[in-house]
Amino acid sequence: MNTVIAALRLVGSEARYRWIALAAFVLFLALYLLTLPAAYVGGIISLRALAFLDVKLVAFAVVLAALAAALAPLMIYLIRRGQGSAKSTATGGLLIGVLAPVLCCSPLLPLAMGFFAAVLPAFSGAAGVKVQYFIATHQTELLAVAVLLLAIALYQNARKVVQGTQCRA
Amino acid sequence: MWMNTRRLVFVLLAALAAPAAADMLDLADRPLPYPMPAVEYTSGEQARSLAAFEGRRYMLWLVSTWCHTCIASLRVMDEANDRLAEQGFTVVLVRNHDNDGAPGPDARGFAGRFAPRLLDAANWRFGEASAQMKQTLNPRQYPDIYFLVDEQGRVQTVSTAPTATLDRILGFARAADAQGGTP
Repeated sequence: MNTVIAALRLVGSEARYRWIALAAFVLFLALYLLTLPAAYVGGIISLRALAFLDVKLVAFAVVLAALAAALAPLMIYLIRRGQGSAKSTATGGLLIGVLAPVLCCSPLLPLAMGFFAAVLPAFSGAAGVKVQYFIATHQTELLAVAVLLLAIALYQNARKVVQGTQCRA
Repeated sequence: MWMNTRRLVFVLLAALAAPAAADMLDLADRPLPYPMPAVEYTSGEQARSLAAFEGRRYMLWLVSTWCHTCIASLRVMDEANDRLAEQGFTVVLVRNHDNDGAPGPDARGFAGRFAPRLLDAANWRFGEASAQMKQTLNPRQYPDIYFLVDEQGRVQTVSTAPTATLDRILGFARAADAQGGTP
């Protein structure tokens, strides 16, 4: 936790990174507020989905957006300094947060699985509905995993930021 | 790094482009309109034929009880049912065959839990899809799919998610011209 705070203080001392964080928060909050309730409207991301937001989804949207907003300036800071940033965990967290609500209950998976089953007869076309059932019945757990992955990514990148300054010193 | 960034940008763009996909919720697997196949569902252990609805507009709605869109859509349909009933529009709510292998209540239990008012609505019917109905109408196993059928027994629309497509259903229920095609 101290590492994260130290890295955010260091990067946040420059105004442009504070603006990046703010812009990322607004962008990701809008994205998550529209995406998380998509499970209730056939996986379609639209303003109509906002009507199905509840306290739990708003809380997840705020937490996910806050983590993404903290992560974005750290990653940009590392890239600009030629240091490698930890992207895989962050990508995983973002993907789960966005894809889980979109794939649950939408026609996308059955269509995709039907296509694969047509190409590869050994492939079961029913796999799509099984995946959708899993997503639908584990929505909270999947969003919690997305939060966890983003938190890990934040720590990994914060450590690189702090280590980078120590190396230079 | 480039691959990860590209993957991320692709997914985010795809997600943002999804509103445009609203019109892609048409799930018809053949040209519309087409005659509703002679398929049966069961209700109270008895086989029922869709032929019983010929001569009136109706919606055959196949749902899986674990599906979030189905639950939200049932509530939306409940709120809209006064308008549907005014038009003499019938909704046949049928649980997908064996609920796609998942545990869950039957169609009446599902409605009773999320929209109990509909159990007493004169324009609603409840049942369980037969294996034949699944094979004929929903071979891809969409958890939520509905068919809007006109007075001549022709399927005019195949779609999903009444939460997103309620206007289409209301428009079909209102349409007085039986030859009017897809609303």
